Amino acid sequence: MSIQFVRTRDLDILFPILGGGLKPFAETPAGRDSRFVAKRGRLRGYRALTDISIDLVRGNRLALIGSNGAGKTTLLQALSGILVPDRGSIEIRGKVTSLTNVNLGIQPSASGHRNIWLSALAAGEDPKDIVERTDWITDFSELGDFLHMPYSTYSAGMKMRLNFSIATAFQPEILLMDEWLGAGDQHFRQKATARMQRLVDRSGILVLASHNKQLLRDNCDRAIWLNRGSVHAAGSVDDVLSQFSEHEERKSHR
Amino acid sequence: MLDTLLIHVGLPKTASTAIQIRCRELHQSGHIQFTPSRDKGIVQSRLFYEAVKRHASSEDKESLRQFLTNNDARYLVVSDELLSRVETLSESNLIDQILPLLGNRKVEVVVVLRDNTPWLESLICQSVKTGQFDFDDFDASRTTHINGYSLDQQAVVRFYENIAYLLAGRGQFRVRTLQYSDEIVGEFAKLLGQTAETPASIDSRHNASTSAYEALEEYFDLKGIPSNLLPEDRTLTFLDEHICTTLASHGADGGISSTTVKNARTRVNHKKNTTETRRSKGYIEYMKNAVDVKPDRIYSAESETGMKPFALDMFYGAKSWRVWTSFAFEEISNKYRRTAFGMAWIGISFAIFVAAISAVFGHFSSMSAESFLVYASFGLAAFLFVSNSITDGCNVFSGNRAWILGSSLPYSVYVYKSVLKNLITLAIQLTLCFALLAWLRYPVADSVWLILPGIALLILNSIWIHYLIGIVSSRFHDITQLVLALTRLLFFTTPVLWVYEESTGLRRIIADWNPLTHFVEILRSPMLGESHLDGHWIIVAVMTIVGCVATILVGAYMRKRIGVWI
Repeated sequence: MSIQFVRTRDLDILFPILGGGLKPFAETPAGRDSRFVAKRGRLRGYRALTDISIDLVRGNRLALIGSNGAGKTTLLQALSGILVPDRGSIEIRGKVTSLTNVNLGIQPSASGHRNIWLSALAAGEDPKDIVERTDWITDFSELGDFLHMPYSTYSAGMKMRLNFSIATAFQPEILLMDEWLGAGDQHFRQKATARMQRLVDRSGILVLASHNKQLLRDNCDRAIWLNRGSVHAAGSVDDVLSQFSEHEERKSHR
Repeated sequence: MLDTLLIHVGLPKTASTAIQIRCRELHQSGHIQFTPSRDKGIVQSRLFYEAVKRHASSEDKESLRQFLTNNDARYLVVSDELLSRVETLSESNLIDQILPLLGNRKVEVVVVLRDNTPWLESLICQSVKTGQFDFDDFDASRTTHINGYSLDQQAVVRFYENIAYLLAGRGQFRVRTLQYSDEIVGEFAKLLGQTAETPASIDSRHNASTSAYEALEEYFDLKGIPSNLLPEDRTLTFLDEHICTTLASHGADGGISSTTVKNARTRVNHKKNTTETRRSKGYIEYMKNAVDVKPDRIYSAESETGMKPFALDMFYGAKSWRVWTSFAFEEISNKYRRTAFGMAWIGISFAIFVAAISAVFGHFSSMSAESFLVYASFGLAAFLFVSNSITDGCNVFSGNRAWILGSSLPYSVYVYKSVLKNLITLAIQLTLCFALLAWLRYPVADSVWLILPGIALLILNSIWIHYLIGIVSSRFHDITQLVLALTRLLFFTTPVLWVYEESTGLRRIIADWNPLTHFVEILRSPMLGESHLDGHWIIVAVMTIVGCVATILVGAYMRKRIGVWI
């Protein structure tokens, strides 16, 4: 029995604004979004996340909702160890896979076969696992002999098929996703949906950021509503989603 | 003096309520006391919970702190089922709220373990009693929730994992496990130094199942299901295949809706799946070890600052050698893909360059034509390696932006990748240089072995140059422009086109102050048979040390920001 968890405490992520300090920027004007950080009358930074303290254990399926720029992607990037917190901490136990950029490591002039190796390596997969999963990727992508051709000669759909196959070939323990992945024509799309479902079902922890409420309801049991970089509400997915919908409706009526 | 806090983590249906009742009885009978004065103490969990909740007033917290300090009871017992559930927001997790109030007190965590199948049965039994049970809604057994708990094979395991998580990394906790049994309440009382007898107030399994049976009778009545489907022995067997199979076989002629029949069938299957009892013995060790569970990775400003994380970055980067070797070769061959000569172009353009330098600048020197060829070829190879390290260093992170923002590989991977690319080029060029030596039948100097330490030093320097310039230029983009402007000058101020030993005056001074001169010299002069471990080596050694130290310092404190700077 292996325990998997994600634990964040008082997490702050601050993006410095480099070279943006030239124009005067008043320090504390009324009504200004508090995420803008000004120092000595200049805009210096932007606090994308404030005070995020969450606990996730195996079995948890967390939906991240919030309007654009609320910090969903930043949170996913922080959880995958890409952005280092300015304050607070993130503790992770389990193999994390982030399906946010499926283009990773693709070399257009290399063959499809070579790109399987490269892209999986770039994503941080273990070389042994890659060798083991190569046949599966070859089969699933249905690209056949096209895999001997340079990636750049593929149609957009074929590229997506290969990217999707590589990205979903490895079963993570902790799965981070920014919107659902889908690819290809109708036939492949069905296959891809089934594959994604399997990946999600078998992952210990899921964090899924999406604007598709049905998708979130189907796959998650708990939710966090991020607003301006901090947790606005948390609880069961149905509760939080209905609160969010209400809020959205009120906004559109205004 | 209150020195031990006993936290009772009860899963639902592991006699937590009975234990709480027993504790209260002991309290009322004077065996254990709430008031400070005796040697045992207990606080009812809810009281405690209200006080430690985040939104509890500071007076509540203060009075609790006072209570903890001024109490001369030995134990404080906190018992709450909520302790076995992990909420998403950490502020909702009771254990996190208790911790700051404890000071240095010992904490003993008592976990009651129970086998999977009886636990599930008991939970369903409970839901029948409370009227939440719905046979028609039971088909999706994997996702069915009763009292907010999901009922599937993994349910009990999940509880244990949740508890383990709440204990993880809390080395100050000691974990005790108790196996669920009819005597569980007495065993718990023993922990407090009390009698082990089980008080009469505790329901036996029989009583519990009888009331569940009655509730089920009512339920069947309500749904119009013939009550003869119920087992006759009135025990806790409503889960038995008996009901389900009869229901399923009874079918439409019994006036039972087809959904109920279908659900009954699913129920039979579900039952079959859960009959395999999961013994909790394995969990005992697991629970005890839970406090030692450490995260695989910690990301925080502190944990990413300092020499150690920087060293780990270099180490894990080196360990991922397959990544940077694969990509270094790939990117180099990419550059020459679809050319007829491929990577040979690296050699060809180098040969043309050397030939041109020798033809144009050779006669400015008093050296023989052969010597100048050797001088120019080795010098150029060394020069290009170092100056390319500087210019490539500017882009080592910003050029890999998408990759850095898409994966959590150590930053040093990008450094090693770029260094290797330069090294491959150097290797090809040096091969040509040695071919030239052979072709000219140039006498091989005794000092030729010095090329090995020379290359080693060049590699080491290339690594720190890449890392240092990479970090600095991703923060200050002007540095990139400045570096590019200066490296253009380096070509003229480094003795590659002209001979260092023959230079005089200002040119000599510039050469001496130009760090590249010394890098070039340590690689080149052994080939010409002039070099020993002289001043150039010392200067390079000093630069290596100074550079490495500077890089370690910059890397230790600025590396963590690369992600937001690029």
